[in-house]
Amino acid sequence: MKNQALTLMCWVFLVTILSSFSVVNAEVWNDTEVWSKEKEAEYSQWVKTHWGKNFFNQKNLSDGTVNPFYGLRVDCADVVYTMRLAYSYFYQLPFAINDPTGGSKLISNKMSRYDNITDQNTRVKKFMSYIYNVTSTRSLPKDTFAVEINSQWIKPGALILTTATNHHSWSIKDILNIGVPWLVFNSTVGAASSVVIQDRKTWPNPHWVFEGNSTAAGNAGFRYWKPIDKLQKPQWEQEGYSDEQYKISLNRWVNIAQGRLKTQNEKPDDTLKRLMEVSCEELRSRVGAIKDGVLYLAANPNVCMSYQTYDNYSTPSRDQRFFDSLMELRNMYASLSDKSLPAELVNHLNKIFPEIEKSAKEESKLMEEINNFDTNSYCTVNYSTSPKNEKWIDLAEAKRRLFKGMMSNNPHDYLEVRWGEGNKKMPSSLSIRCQSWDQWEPKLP
Amino acid sequence: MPILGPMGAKTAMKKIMMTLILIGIGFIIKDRFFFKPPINESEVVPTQLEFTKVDELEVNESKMLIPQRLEDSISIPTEELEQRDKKAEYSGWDQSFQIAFAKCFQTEVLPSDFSNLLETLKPRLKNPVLELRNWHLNLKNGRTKRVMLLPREKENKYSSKDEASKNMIIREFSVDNEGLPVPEGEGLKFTPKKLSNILSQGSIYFSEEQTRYESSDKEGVLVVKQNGKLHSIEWYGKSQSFLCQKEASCLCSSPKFVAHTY
Repeated sequence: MKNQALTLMCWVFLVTILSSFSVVNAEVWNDTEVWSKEKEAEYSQWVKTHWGKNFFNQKNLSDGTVNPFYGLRVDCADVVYTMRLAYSYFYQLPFAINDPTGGSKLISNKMSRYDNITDQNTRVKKFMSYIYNVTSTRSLPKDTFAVEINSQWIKPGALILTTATNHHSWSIKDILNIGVPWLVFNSTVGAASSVVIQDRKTWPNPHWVFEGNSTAAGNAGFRYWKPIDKLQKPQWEQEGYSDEQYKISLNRWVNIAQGRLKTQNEKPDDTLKRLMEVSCEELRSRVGAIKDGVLYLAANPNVCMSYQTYDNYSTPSRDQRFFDSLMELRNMYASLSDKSLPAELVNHLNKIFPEIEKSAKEESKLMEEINNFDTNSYCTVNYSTSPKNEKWIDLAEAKRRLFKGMMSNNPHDYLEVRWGEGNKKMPSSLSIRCQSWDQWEPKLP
Repeated sequence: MPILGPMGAKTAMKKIMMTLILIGIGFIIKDRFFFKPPINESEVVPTQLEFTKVDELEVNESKMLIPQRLEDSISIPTEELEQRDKKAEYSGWDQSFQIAFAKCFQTEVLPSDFSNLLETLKPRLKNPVLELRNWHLNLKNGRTKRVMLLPREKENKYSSKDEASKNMIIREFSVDNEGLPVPEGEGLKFTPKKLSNILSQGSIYFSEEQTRYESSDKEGVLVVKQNGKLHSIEWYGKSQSFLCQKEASCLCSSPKFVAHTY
């Protein structure tokens, strides 16, 4: 009896050990395909049709299968890496990046750390979370390279990176026929607040993209993924590498890029509508950002924020982007000498820019508070945090307050001050008492 | 087949229970003793090899954003390391960097070897900004550890370099049996003392530093050093770019930009 028990114990022990060895060195997923020019083209097509701001909000993919990336909260660099990794996973292609910690080995789908996770989708999700944890906008330059400005390289699946000053990135979902990129992205704070990320059909301000370093050493601008077999080679050895985009003056950068990428001209009224939509989106997203800050303030009254908390709830970069979008709209409207535009569009624009013939600075001095919302109002939003006390604003009034410098980006300020209510900016006592950082004021031409 | 009587059923049940218990013990033993990540052989360097003191490594170290004090714990390399590096510098790509250098900088005064390239260019490098630093350590318990220092990514931009330097974070990583980093926590706010304490946990056998400079002509320069020696340099000039990576390639390129009208 004892011998039998002992024998049984030995067999069980042996089987356990041997079965453990059999799953060692499993990959995150098995890559049966290899990257090629054709696969890159298919990747591009997939990004165009399947990638978007709701990618992390979809429980199931378009074919009905479970989306393993559902629910992940991502910042700007995470969005870009996911775009590449997700396609690689779905189509059994390899995925690899350089090790940001300086190790000589690539981090890839071939790693076996997650081999004890039997469910494939869970394994991929864990791997993706690991990638998020080790990468950032700092690691993107090593995994990508600067490209020529043409449709061969600037296409769905590529990316735009800023300098380290603004440490931001956008994935390119598509290049519209008019040569404008459709960008999908998120922010650091956005990563904590929602699984729905952001998109825009307009150019980022090149002065913001290249801020601090407009040379190739800043690594900003259009970039594409290095092939895996050349990941550890310098960017100048990559096919398609070019530093031409850094030779263009920033004032001409968008015009030249758009000119090279477009296949048709955009009609003026379509351009104006597109730019208005972008400004409206900026206004809407500001509502959410300010609300988060105000709620934090209410939960932590009379407490000065730490640097990190302040950064999370302040909006200087956001307000700068909102301002840039309005200025781009204004400049476009002002440039149209032949204003044979639809009447409704003209009415909207004239409410936002009532003195378009003058400079933005002069117009700002002349604009009076807009209290009435009528058919000429465009993009009317409620920015109140209380359902009982609604506070409405349209794009024209938001623009007036922003351009006058009345809107505060200091998260120590209360809601009314954040939105520039009243005739004069009145900072709260907390914002006067507490340290603030990164203040932004509009610079009107 | 005989049907098991009450006594036989009990015995069978006992055997099944014993089997399940042994399987569980087997898994515990496997995870605890058999798959502890061993030291990755490719990462291990004999303990007598350490890297150079920072004041020999850094250009304008006093102007760098990292205080010098933290480097006091780092020792001087042995002759063996220096000899090994010298051989590596010249194998495979000869004097190509000198040819590219001469072409780009229009000078006959050439650096004697790749390591001296940075010294030669030193007077023209201004405004260093640290992008990233990495260290690899051999710990006293035989394992390896990696430490990364970089600016924290935040919602808004840094209003100044000084602000960026005050908001660096230290990331720590263990290393698995495949030589890949395993993050340990989200990172610590950088202070020289914290970093020094972490680095003193073991002996450093690898270091990497990425620094961005502005040249005296407002040109952009990106420098990567490994173990205190130049690994790569990208100098983007107004009319020419000097691009060089050790044991990869070195070139002086003159890109032409043609503005398309539309």
